[in-house]
Amino acid sequence: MNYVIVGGSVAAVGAIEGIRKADRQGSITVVSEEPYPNYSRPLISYYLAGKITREGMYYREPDFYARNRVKVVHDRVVRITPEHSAVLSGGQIIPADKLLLAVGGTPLLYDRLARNRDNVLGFYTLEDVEKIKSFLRPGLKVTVIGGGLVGLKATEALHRLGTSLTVVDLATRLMSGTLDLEAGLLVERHLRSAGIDFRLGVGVKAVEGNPLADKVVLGSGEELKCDLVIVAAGVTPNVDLARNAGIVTARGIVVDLHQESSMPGIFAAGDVAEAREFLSGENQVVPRLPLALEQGRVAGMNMAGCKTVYRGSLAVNSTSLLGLPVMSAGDSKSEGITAVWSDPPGYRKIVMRNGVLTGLIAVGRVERIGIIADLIRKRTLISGLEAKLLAAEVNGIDIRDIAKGA
Amino acid sequence: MKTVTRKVEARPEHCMGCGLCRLACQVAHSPYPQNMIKAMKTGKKPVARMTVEVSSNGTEFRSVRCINCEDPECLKICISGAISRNEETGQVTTDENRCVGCWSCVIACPEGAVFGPLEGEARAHKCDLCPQLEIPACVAICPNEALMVVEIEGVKR
Repeated sequence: MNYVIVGGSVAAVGAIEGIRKADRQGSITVVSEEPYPNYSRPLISYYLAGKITREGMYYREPDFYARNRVKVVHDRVVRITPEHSAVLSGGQIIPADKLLLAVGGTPLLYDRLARNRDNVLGFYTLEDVEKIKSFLRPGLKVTVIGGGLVGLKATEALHRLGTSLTVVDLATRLMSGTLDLEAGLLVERHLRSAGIDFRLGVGVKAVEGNPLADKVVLGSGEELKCDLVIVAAGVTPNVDLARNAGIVTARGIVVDLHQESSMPGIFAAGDVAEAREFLSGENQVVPRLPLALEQGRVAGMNMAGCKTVYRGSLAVNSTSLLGLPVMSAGDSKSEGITAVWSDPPGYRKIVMRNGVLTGLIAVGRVERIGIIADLIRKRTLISGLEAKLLAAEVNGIDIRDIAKGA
Repeated sequence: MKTVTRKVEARPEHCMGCGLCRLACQVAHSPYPQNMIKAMKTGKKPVARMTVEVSSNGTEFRSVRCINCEDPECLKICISGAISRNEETGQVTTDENRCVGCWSCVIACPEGAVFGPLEGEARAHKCDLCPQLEIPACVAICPNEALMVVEIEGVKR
């Protein structure tokens, strides 16, 4: 059996592990554009901040490919044929019995704003970080476009490196994709107290200056002078390869419960795939590293003939921003019941639908929060027992009673 | 391949909630594992890699630590690859040097068995079964045999 995996990131790692669980003999080829062994994209902010070394970026040990007998080709796939073959940039054809598209997404807003200016950079790849590093000096004025998780991790790292930062986001609160206003404000206050500035609820009209950008012009007319612009917003799934091959795509490549696309033998996983979402049961792109790994594994198992069903994407987020832990899971933005603590500050919200826990936010006080988050996965009835879930200390015994239906 | 999985098994019916297991865990993972006074009174308080739960009505106790899941959520969610599972022993381990402190494992662990401190520059700590000791410190100190080491033999193809 010939397996070809297009893309060399986390979904590819999952697929290799999945295939090798079921098939130790088949030949696996990975075609990846990035000239490095697999690495974990969310680690780039930690690498920028100097918290880990470049070697520490690897998501699996350096001998991962060798150990799993995977052939790696550093090239670009320009086309896939109906017979599942991958056509490389030079015209070379790699035949496959089963093919996986794990090609991720592209930061489109970056492409639109950068226009070949060296000091307008994305925050997506290891290469982006190496370029950012070449500009670093104390007092550097940086504008970060995007107040989501990626933008804020970039901001945190650049703050630690002594730069002066302003974050711009069209939304009126930070991390608007996962947090509610209350939690967003907690994060904003925390980062403001460290000296980071924000312009929220306002869009970017233009990034001006040539050959280097020197200011960001906002929708309000305000001009932010800066030496470096980081665009950390708007990643769009790379569906072109699939679409051109006649595979059904929506926002991402639409896949069934086995991660197989509309074209038999061609699978998709990770940030490019539109797989079943856990709560709604509908197909949705949920770009998260652990989901990419899991989708990759499911795809790999099925490619190797071992029928496996994807359990559905549940968005679970966790990070620490200048020491403040910020977490969310599931349907976290909907109305819910909240608890607020001071000293140390903490915020928790639980969201229910039909008496079942469907969403969670926890900021500040997060000890043992996984016990609560697990109830979402288990679709546990919690009505009448909300107070137990909002107690300052997460009580395992009490909550297990809930899970048992006590 | 024959496998032996080592686990610390808690028997809540024997647990009195004395908390000695947590204290022993802190000491065993401090710079002074032989000296409880020094361990607890020198510098920062050492982190316990387990906890003792008490029900809100005060009648039930349970000593809780990593149960080394077969398909660990923490491993799947970890962004740094710091968490791995030994296929022969079934043990799930954290490489604290590779941990970046994103706390994904904290929200992923259904047992609540990953510990901080979760503020500042910390890294995730979980039960490591005390590799330096013959018997994990929590088990050795338990006065009521509410904690036991069990070894489960299995075969992996």
